[in-house]
Parts: sequence; structure tokens; C-alpha cells
Amino acid sequence: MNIERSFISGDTPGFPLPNGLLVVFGRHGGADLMLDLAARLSMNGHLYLLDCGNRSNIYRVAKTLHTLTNDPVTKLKNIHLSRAFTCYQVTALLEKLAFGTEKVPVLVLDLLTTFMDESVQLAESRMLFDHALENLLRISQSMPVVVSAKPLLSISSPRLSLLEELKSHAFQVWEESVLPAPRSAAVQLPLLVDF
Amino acid sequence: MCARVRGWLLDLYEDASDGLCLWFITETGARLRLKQKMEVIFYASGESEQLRALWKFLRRHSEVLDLQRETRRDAFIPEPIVVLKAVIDSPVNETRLFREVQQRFPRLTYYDSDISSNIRHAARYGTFPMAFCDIEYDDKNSIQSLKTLNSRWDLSPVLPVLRSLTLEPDCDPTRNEPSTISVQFKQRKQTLSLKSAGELIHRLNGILHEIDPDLILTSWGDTWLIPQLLMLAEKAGEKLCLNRDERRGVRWQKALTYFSYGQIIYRPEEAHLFGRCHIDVRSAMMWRDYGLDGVLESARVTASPIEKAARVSPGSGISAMQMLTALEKNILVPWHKQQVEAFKDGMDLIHRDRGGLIYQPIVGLHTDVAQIDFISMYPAIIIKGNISPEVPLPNGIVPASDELGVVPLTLKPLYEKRVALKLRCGQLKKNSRLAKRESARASALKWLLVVCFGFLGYKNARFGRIEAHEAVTNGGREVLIKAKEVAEAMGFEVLQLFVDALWLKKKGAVTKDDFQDVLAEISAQTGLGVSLDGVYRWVAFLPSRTDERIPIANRYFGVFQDGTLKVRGIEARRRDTPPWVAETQTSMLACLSRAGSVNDLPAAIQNAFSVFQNALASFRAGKVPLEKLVVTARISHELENYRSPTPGARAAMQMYAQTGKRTRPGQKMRFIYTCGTPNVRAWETAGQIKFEDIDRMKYTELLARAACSVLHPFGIDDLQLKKWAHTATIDLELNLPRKGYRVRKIFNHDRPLGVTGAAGTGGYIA
Repeated sequence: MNIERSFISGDTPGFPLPNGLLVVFGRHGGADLMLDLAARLSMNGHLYLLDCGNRSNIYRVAKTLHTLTNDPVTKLKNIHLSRAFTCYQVTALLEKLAFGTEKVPVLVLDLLTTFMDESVQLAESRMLFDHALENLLRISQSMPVVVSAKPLLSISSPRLSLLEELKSHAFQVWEESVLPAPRSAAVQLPLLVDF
Repeated sequence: MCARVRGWLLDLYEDASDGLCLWFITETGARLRLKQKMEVIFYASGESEQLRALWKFLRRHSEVLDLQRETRRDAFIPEPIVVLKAVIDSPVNETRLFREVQQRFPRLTYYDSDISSNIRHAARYGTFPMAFCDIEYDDKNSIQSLKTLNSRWDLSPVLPVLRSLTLEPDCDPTRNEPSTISVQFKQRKQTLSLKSAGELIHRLNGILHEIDPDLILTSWGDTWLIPQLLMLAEKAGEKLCLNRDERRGVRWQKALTYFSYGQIIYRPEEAHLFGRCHIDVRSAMMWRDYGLDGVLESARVTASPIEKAARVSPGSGISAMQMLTALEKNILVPWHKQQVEAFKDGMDLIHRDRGGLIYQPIVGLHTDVAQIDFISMYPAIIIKGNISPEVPLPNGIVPASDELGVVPLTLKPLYEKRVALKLRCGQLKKNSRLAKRESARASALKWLLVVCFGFLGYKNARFGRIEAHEAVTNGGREVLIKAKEVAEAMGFEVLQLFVDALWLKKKGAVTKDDFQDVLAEISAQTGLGVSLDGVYRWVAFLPSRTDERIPIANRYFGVFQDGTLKVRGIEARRRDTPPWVAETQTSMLACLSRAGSVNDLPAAIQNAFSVFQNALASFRAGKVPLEKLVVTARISHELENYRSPTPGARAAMQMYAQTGKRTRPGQKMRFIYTCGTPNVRAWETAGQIKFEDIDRMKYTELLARAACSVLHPFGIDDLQLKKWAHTATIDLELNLPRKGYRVRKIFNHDRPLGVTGAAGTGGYIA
């Protein structure tokens, strides 16, 4: 059964994460929340971070880790990251993990972006997505799998069903309903002392 | 009975009955259509059962000439793999059959399956557009033998005289309704009225028949002219013979929106011809940059059809070249790249994924500064470091493998040809016809080299790999750091580093000769070619607009010793700056460039200010033509998806509401800032705008901002200048010849004690 709930900035799924497929749905592929989650999970051990939307801002993870530990470098080494830029690569990557031996949590950032690529035919994209989802579910039987997705543009309308299908297979869906407050503009300190 | 002829290959395309059609321009000037059979091969690999099923499926088809089990090399797999090789009788049949195959056997991996006929032909016969060939053909015009007599890499290819016909409407059809089209061949020009469809088409057919052009160059041909002419031809009941191959109609390539280098690009529908080439100069991607000479050069080295080379991005050209290299070297070309990035940990990513090295400039005005550039740095690193997805990657630029990979193999001749052309350009008389032609050719090659690095990281690049992309930037950083160390060891101060360029100065070093030793040493130590872009009389590095303590990389302007200006990152370089603002800023800079030395600058600044003042006065008097106020912006989303629409998006929405004409993502929108709501007016629907409707405050602000960029390094306060521009009541002390103290002191390149030259830091000049 799907349990939908909202998250706001700074709120993350509770620990320990249960085995199963959890979907985080928000703007920018819920990237900030996923990266913070990666930082927190790395405190406890290894994890896989699959970036399917070019959103792995590892500096953000490092920044979060600075607030959690005195040794962020060691914790960063717990994050095993791979980036996929096409739906073929996403499918191949998940297959590799599904049949791998290491059992560690898997975070998938912005899963659907590559499946929206219009240069891949709809039927082909659908077939690859089914294959990817099959592997996600296989992995989620023994480990927590958190997948993030973003609202799809109207231009992707023929493929909107992929998002619904992803959500329907999740045991829990986290919906971003409250937008984070805009951040104040960053102020850069002077690089050199005034002279 | 066979005939023999020598000629240049103009066009090559697939034909259902003939296999391939080839058009040649013979030595005698005849235009000859020949046909040629060409078998096409594709490969499949995967589970044995699936391959067996594919084999059974294919052997039932008569167009499959041969099926074999072979061992071949996949660039991304270390060991050779077993593949099923399918030989198909023609390219048309291969395309149709493969579509069916990949639907029935989606789990198999395919190779060499979607390569264009031009590339296959190039790999087999060494052909390319404008290749000079020796051909033997029979009485049915079937080619019996074909030999290419020259190469893509010839520096001075002999080309035939091409017949080029130009067609263009009398006005921009997106803004007004054209009433005539002009037709030009050499010096002959005719104007044809669009009013009478029958007469127009009849006369146009007559011209096409008489001239028999090889090239039809149009303005708005893809988007308006050719659709309009075809519509008129239908109305007149007469066929319009645009194609030289009369059996064919116009081939339409549908419109496309795609991402390229962080921008959404819109490529409109394209009209392609058979037997001659149609180039719409408005939609030809790099036409403004290198024109027909560059297009022909690009087509030549990429072995792509001329019509395609004119329209597609340089990335597509590089892709075609890589496929050709792979075919020539018997390396399989994957249909879809499936190899994934090897897992790396967070620290690895931080270390490797860093991009180019930037050393923030020391803000202010500097004299006698040399700019040193690495010649095509990234392509040179790819070649020298042998960086290719299928070979071990180097750490730095020392190659980890001796055998050149697909990417360096592709780039090496391209790089060498470009360097040779550049050297030749340097020896030719500036602005001579030949110099312009060679420069256009070099520019076409430059663009191919520019994109080759980015293409390594492009998602759909067949021979791309993110690690290879990172290895190139890593090599670039190492080389630049090495160059910095060399320069500093020789007593130079480094004012800025920017990816592949250094700005150096040293007390007493003022002429080009004074920098030759450091150039030679950098080249010797890094193993890469460097060139002296020039020595600036003075150069101004600009700070951030919002905080003048923060330097901005690559935002500067300066004057070389020969008086030429170099400008980067300011309004005149931006595409969204209205022409009036850009032209005024350029004129202001031109005033500064006339100062022979820094001592002459105060007078020059006064002149520059006068230019600004006059421009404002003209504007206030309503003397600036409206088209000079047009802002051009690119639309990046579907209009419904804008949360806070940009001015461009607001104009696009307005145009959609008024005319129903939708602006697609990637298309450019032209508009004018106006008073009221919405505060923009789409240029296409603007009609007659009164001067009172113009948002004068906005344009004054834009001009003032551009003036600030120019005058800031000379000590003129931005806020005061803007205030003056808006109100003209503030007494701005700008009588610079008399109040020379307001000219900012030339920075004397002394850093304060304790400040090191670490990357990312820069001095602030108080």
C-alpha cells in the first residue's frame, strides 16, 4: 500500500530505512534531500548512489558531512557513485547492481530523466524502464532503495505513465508539497584583507 | 561497354531501386548521375539462443545475402566478442530490416546498424563531398569501379566551379508579408513577383533549367520560401523542379529541439534536395562564422553531405568522423552506448571532476601584458595523452597506451590540417580573397576541434566516456599549472589563468620578443604548442558588478600593441544585448583603442564618454531606429512551463495570444521593452511602436551599464554614472584631461606582502 506524505526542506525519511522501494518526488528530482540522505547513510556504512540526472553535487554531501562528523573524507569514501546519461546506461547499471553481491542501500537520483529522451522511441523507452523497474524491485527485496523523480514537463506527456508506474510500485512515496523557502543570496567574503 | 570519367562527387543518397545514386561534376563540366550497388553489414551480439533466433529470422529474407558467425572487437570490451554478421543487399533494405530486427530482438546488442550511407561509402571507397574520383560505368550508368584520387586532408584541394543560385524574399517573412523574391546567379539578378503563382513558377523553372545550379542558397528557405514556392506550384498546377533528380520531391527533415552545451537549441524543419544542395543561410548553423568555404571544408573532413554539414552542429561532424575511423580500423560502432561509469567514491569524484583551471584575474588596469594561448589545448591533450574511451587513460598527459584510440586517431589529421592552414593564413595578405577562404576553412576545423572535448562526455556519443572527458580536463589543469610555474620561475607575474591561456607581465618586458623565451620554455616543458596572442598596451580585468572586490574570470578588454581590441564577457559580446547598446559600447572601446599609450588614455576616455553622451542624446530625441533596440533571447521551456516568465517568454506568450504562432523551446524571440503591462512587445507583432511606448528607463539603464563596464577601470563610479544617465542632473566630474587624478592609477603589479599566488585568489586594487 502506498503511504503518501509530504516533506519539507531538511526533513528526510526516517532511519533506519526499511527494505523496499521508496520514492521521493520533488522539484529538481528531490536532489537536495537525496544528497542529504546520502550523507546520513554514509555515516553508517557503504551505499550506492546512481545519478541519472547529473545532480550529484558531491560538495553538498561534503558540506552536510561537515556538520555530522569530524572525518568527512572517510565518510565520502563510503559513497560509491556512478553517473548514467542514457536510459540504456541506467538499465545496464541497475542490472549490474541487481546481480551484484554487495548488499548496501541504493539511492537513485532523478531516475526518469533519461527515459524522457525523445531520441529513444517510446516503446523502447518503455521496455527499458520495465527492465529497470524489475531490477529496482529485485534489489529492494534485500536492501532499502530510494528513488527520486521530478515532475515531468508537458513535452514528455506520452511518457507520463512511467512516473505513475514507479510510484505505484513504491511502498512509500514522499511528495514535495511545501517548497523550500528561497535562500538568501550567498555573500562571498573578501578574498584578501583590505589594503 | 564501359565509359570512364573523372570528376568531383557532389551528392550521394540512397535509392530503393538503384542502391545508391551519385552525382558527379565531371572535368568537362557535365553533371552526371550514376548508380551503384552497395552491400551493407550490421552485427549483433548477445545470448546464443537469441542470436540463433535472429539467424533463423534473417535467413528467411531474400535481401540478406550472407550470415556468418565472427569474432570482432567492441571498443568497450577488452576481449574480442562473438557476433552474428548480416550482409544486406542495399542500404534502404538494411534500414527497413534492422527496424524490424531490433523490435523483435530488443535484448541483443547491435553494431554498425545505423551508419549513414555516406560514411559507409567513405569507409569503403575513401569518398567525401567534392572528392575527385576516377569512375568507370556501364551503359546503364552503373558504376563498375570507383577510385578516389585525393584525400580529405589535402591542404589545397582543386575544386570544380560550382553554380550557385541565390533565392530570397524581399523582407523577413516572420515580420512582414514578402511580395517578391530575388533570384541571383553570379551578377545576374531578377525579381519575381509572388502575386501570380503561375508566372512565378514558370519563370523559376525556366531559370532552374537554364542555370542548372549545384547549390541553391536561400534565406528562410527551410521555414518559409520553399514551403511557399511548393504551395504556389500546387496552386499553379505546375511542378517546381527544385531537384536535379527529377524523380524525387523535396525531402523534409522534421523540426527538432535539443540540448547543446547547456542551451536549448531549436532546429527548424529542413528542405533537402537530390542532386543539388539547398542551404538556408538563416538556419545553417555556422554560416555567419565561416560561410560556404567553411561548409565545404566541414563536409569534406567529416564525409557528411554538404546540406547536412551546413545545418548540423560540429558535434555531429565529429561523431561522423569517429564512426568513419572505427569502420576503417574494423572496430564495431555500437548502436547504443551501454557501458557505464565505473563506481567511484565521493572523494574520487571531487578530485577528478573539476573542469578547467581558473586563476582569478587581478582586477584593474595593467600595462604591457602578454596573453599566451595553448594551441587547441584540449584536442592536443587528447592526441598527446592518447585519451579515448577504449584505451587506458593517462594520469596527466603521458599516454598509458601506445596504440592510438579512436578519438585521437580521428583528431590527429584534423588538428594537423588546422595548424597547417593557420600557418598558411599567417603568410597570406590580410583580407585577400584567398586569406578569407583559408581562414573560413580553418574556422570550420577549429569548431570541430572545439567540440571534440565536450563530445567525449556527451551522452549519445558512440565513443564517449565520462572518465575520458575528466582525463582531458585533468591534463589541462596539469599543463596550465606547469606553465604557471615555468613563467614564475622566469620572473613573470601571472595575472590570470583561464583554462588554456595565461596573462603574464614582467617589468621591462614590453615587446613580443621579450616573451619568446618564456613561450619556448612553456612549450618545451609541457610538450604542447603555445602561441603569443599578443602584447597588450593595456588590459583591464573587470570585477563583479555586485561586489567590486570579487574578480570575474574572462571579463576583460584590452588593446594590443597594433591597436586591435580584445573584448570578453562584456555587453558587446552578449547575444541578448540590443544592437544600439552593443554598438555604442564598441564605439566607446574604439575611442580607447586609439590611445597610443596609457598617457593618452585621459583624452580617449573623454572621447569615449562623449560617445556615450551622444548615444543617450540621440535616444532621448527618438533618433535611434527601433530595430537597434530589439533584444534577442532564447526560449528555454514550453510557454506553459514558465513559473516566472522572462521578458523573452512574456513576448512569446504575447505573440502566441495575438497570432497563434508558438515559439518552441530553443527558438529565439525578438522583443522591445515597452512601458505598461506586459513591459515587452514581440518584434514580430510590434507593428508601429511609438517612441513614447518605449521603456526609456530600461534602455537608459542598459546603456549606462554598458558604459560602466568600459569606464569602471578608469575610476569612474558606476552608481554616479548610472544616476547621471537617468537624470542628467548630477554633476559628474568627467572632464578627464583636466582632472587626471580621476584616472585610476595603473596597477604596478606589486602584490601586498603575505599574499601568495594560490589559485582562486586575486588582488583588489583600491
